[in-house]
Amino acid sequence: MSMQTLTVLQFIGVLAAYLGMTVLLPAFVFYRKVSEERFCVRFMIYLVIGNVYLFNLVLVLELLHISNRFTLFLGTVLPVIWAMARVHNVGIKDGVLEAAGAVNRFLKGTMGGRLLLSKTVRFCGKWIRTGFLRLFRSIRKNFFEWVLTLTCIGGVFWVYGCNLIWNMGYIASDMPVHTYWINALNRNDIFVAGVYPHGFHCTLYYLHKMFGFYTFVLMRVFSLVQTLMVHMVLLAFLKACCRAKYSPYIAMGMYLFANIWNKDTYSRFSSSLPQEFGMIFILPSIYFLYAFFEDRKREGKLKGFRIHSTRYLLFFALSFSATLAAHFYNTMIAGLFCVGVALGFLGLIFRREYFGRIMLAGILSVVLAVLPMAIAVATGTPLEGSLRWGMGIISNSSHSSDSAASNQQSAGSSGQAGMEALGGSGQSFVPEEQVQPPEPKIPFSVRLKAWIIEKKEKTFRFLQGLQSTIATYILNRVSLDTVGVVIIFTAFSGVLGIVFLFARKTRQYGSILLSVTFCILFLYAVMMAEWLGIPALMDHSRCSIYLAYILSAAVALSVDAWVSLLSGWFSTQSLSNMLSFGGVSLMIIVLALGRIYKEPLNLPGLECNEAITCLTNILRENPRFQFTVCTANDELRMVENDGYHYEIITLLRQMEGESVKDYFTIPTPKVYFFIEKVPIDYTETYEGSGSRVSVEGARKELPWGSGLGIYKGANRYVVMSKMYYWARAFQALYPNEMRVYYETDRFICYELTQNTYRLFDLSINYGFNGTAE
Amino acid sequence: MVSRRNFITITLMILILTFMFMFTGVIKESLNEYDVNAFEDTTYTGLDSESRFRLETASDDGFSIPRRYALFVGTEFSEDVRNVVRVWCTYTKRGLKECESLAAYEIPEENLPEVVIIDGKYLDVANDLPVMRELTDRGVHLIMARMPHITVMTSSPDLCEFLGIRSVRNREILVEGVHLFKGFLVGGERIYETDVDDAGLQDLEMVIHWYVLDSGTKTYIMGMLDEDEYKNENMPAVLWRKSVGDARVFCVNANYLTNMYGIGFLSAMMAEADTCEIYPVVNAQCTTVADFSGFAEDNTEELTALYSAAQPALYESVIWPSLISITQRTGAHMTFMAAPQLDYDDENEPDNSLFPRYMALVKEEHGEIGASMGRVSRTPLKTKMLRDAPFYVEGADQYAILSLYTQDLEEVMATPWEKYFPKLRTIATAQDNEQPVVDYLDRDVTLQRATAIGREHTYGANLAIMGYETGLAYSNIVLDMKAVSYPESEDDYWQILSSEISQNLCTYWQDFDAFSQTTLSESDARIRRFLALDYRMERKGDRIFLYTNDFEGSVWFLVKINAGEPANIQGGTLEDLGGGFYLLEAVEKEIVIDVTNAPLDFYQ
Repeated sequence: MSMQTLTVLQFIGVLAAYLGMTVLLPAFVFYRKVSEERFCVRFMIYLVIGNVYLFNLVLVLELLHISNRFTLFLGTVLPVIWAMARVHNVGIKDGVLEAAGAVNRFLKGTMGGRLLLSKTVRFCGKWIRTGFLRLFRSIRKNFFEWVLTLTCIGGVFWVYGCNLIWNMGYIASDMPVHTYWINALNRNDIFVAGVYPHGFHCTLYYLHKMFGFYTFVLMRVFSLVQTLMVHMVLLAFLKACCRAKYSPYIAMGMYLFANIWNKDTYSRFSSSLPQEFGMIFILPSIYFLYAFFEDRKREGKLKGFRIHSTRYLLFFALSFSATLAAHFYNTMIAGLFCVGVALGFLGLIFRREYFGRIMLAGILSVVLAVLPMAIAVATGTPLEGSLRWGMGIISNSSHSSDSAASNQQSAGSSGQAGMEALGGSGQSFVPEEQVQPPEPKIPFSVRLKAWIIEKKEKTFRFLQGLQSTIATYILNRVSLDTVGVVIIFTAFSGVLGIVFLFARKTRQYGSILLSVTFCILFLYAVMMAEWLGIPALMDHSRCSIYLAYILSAAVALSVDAWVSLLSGWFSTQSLSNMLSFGGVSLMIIVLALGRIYKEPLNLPGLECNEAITCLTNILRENPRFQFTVCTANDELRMVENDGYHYEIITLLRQMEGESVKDYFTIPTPKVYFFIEKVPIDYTETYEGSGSRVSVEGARKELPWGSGLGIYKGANRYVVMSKMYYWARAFQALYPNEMRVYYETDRFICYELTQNTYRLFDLSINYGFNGTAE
Repeated sequence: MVSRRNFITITLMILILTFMFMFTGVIKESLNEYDVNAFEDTTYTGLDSESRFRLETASDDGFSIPRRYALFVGTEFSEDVRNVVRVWCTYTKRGLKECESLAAYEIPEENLPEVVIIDGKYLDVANDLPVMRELTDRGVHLIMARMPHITVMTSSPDLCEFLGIRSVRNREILVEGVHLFKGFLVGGERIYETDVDDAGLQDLEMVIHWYVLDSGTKTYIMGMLDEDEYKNENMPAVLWRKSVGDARVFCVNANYLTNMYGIGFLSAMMAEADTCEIYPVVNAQCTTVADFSGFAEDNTEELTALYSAAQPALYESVIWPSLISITQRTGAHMTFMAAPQLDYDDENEPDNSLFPRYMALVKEEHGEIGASMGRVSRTPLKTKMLRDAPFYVEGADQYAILSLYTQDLEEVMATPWEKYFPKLRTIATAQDNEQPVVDYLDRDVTLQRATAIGREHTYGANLAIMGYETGLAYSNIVLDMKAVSYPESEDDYWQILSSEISQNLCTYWQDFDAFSQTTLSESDARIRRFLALDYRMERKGDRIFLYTNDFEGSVWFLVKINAGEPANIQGGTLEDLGGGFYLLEAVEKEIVIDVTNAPLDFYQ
């Protein structure tokens, strides 16, 4: 089987497992409770319940140090049974007795095997038949929606999925550390590197433990699963908010297919990272707030918490806590959006029926997510480095860029570039000498005029700066002309929101439009934080990811608002649907004719595909902990659960200079050596990038120091050259024991088979041992 | 009252049932010729000593590839090693050249020896080491059959470096055991650790020179010391190799190559030296029940006191069922060497009417009956043969005696055995680790020496079995029944003896299940083909070619493939023995083995 086929199968497996546990299982349990909701809303409810449950199940078991497959299974099945019993109003005791009776009848022989089988088949058949009938009916009724939705799913696979097959290694440099944290959960060590939002790691650990996926496979393919979910949630959110049927697809088309976005706004979707995973929960949390306002309004003055609208607040609390459990950046964005919602629903929020409940839900959601971390901190576990950095940014914006550069490599470079591109729009536009002290003798009208002129100029410069920022961070060079259009669309949603506020019937819709507008404005403010002199919540490159995401939603809502406004005069839903479908068609035509559709993402991995191929085979062939993989770096965490890892640099240092005389062994029956014949550019290039390993490279002094620097740039070339000639020399000594396991033009893997009772001395004179320092 | 109809029905049913049950027995009786030795025809090969391969007359006729040859370097005091090397070369169809010292050897420009086997005891380091270096530089493998004297080693760091020795840690060390690692000999790993409760098991060399090895070496046998005190890599090496370019230098820090089972060690070393090795083997596992004397009432008084039965009854009701039980558990094809009587001085003559009964029983167990020359009285062998003759003639006139067992080969060869056993093909004899295991005794009769004694199994015996199995895929276990008839101690009592035999046979030969179980006549046919066989092999990339001379039926080879795994084979079949060894049954003259070098079996 080819690795490409295997990757596809692995992805299907992970997708099925994730959807099964976070959508299908909650649907199976709670369908009866939420059946009156629309499909898109149900989807968000299931997704939030499923994910939050997984986070907290793993979290509780980990904190109790009893997390394993058995407890996870019990923790999944028993609550399902309990919840099913509650939802279906069946006593657990009755259900258990009924099941025991059935087993008893079967064991006694009063119920034959065939009868049991036919009953089971009939039961399952009924479910499957009902499911298919509903699906078929839905497809018949909403044919174009299905086609467009499937196109969107296909689009996600096309744009982000190809990279999975083309580049199998980790794409982001911080993926190994996340793999390490997930692996640590196997040892019931949840905060192995300090307190950190655990949601992403818990989910992957759950899939690893329950379904047997290797963590490195999950880290490789889960990126596509979470990206699909991020897009599906956007679609579901817009489906739930828009009034015209096809308007949401404008956002999908724009966000997914249009090649107008800066690559940094979506390139991180190629990696499985907590921040992108947490994006799944931002829009559901906002929608549940909308739904609460709508539902609460309908309920009028009903008191108490056992009312229908409470469920939305509960779902809001769950999804808001999920954002924090996954990554605090998502919470910031969700928080800003919540402020936007508060402003959009200003007329309602401070009323007694709303305010207390919302506050309570907010506090509950924060407590739900923060409590485990707070307990950990209180018990002496320090904060993880990036969390400290994040908090530092909020508390002191002046240090933000430095911290970002030191902690988050991927963010650093683009953020810096963006600041440079901004040019004079930052500090240089707010010189103190420009602010003229008012002349006391100047009349008020003149002063007012001067103030207006000054503010006008400042606003104009702000807009220029905003335009420049959007052009630098949000949109790509090809579509710079559309910056104005984007800003106008943002303004449209606000203007139309106000328009819709006037009619009582459309007030909710208007508030939604306004809240989205406010959210976008806040995000603009975050982007322009330095210009405005406010704390920068996050660096530009990260903020741009969210801005592009929500901007798409804002544009779609603007279009939807226009369509609703126009068709509203005729009061026909079909007209608005037609208009929105026309909008989608127009967009498709523009993308196709303008050739501005996205090409599949193709980002080079930090590890060559051959290494992943070898690793997959090695894990399959060898019993656990009976092998060692000797490689540069990334495989360390990949094999952690199943084998041993040895770094090439450590091996080479063991035989440098006089050390060659010392005995050096690796005590496993099989040892694999991964050598790049053409060393990859690990996060940085060097003069001579792409060179093959050579004698010249091997002759150079072995890099000294520690950390990843040894495997970067020219150092990697030296290390790989030395390793290559060591392997050849060793193979000459042990031709039958050291065989080529896999070889291509760019890569070679050797397999050493040794007797554990008499290990081979790996420290040999291979001709380039150098001298001891 | 039974009605007529019912009566007829019952009668018919009884008749049918009687017919059905009787029929199989009658047919079996009539179709089986119990009084004929079926192996007489089925194992006849027409081969004799004239057709055997001889070192002296070996030629390259019929082959395009030149014969491999070995060079033995040893003095007149190296006779035991020389014998082993000669026999090994004969069995593996290699040529052999000999010289007294390497200094006197002129290295040819072309047609270099494949391997140089040196008796290191008489090594002249100053003169021989440069030649050894030159040989290895030119890709010739070296085997140091015995290590030079320890003083030579300690005084010659160059030699130590050449042999892969980092240091001589101690002149002598008493090891706790010997660890034979997996993959060297057929049969796998063995740990011969001295057991304080059963010290009799340990008969291997326990005091050895303590050499600590250098990098670039691979150890096959290691002396064992306290693991808590010493690291594995520092434990004394017993058999190892060092790589020098394309050549391998093997060192044997024990006396394995002075014993005939050393042929297996030599083959194993050559199998380790290259990417693949093929050599012919017999592929026969024999079990010989010597002095099977259940025909006369010998030593009746003692046997009656012990077993409450005379000898014929003891054999029929006690010994035979035990032996059959072992046969069924091991799948052995036993050869029962009949001794009509053991004591020719008493007046008890053998009962020849028992012989046909045993012929039937033995045949049903896929066994064979031969003749045994054992006796307890001082009757000359010629007299014994004369007195036994009527027994065989009257008991089984048509049954051809094809095999014979004797402990004293010379005595048998001095008698006119042809007169009494005109159809005799093979003679089995007692174990002797200094003589060839299989050979021709004269033009028509082969020799099959015992490789193990059924009742005893020491570590040395186990190592010998592994050596023989690796070198020849042959074993001949002898169960001597004379001790049962004339017990000398309690250990000879059948209840103890049968337990030991059963335990040994069912345990220590399990690793050689892949080899064929044969009677002596069957193995005789295989030995004749083996001795007559000549072959050449070569590896071209991923294909191994094997060419043989003419043969009928099948011949067997052991194949060791170090780089790659066999995929397809033409002209024969392969069976995996583990540790990289395969048993090849060749049915055609030209065999091609495709080797796959693609370790990625799953995902590519």
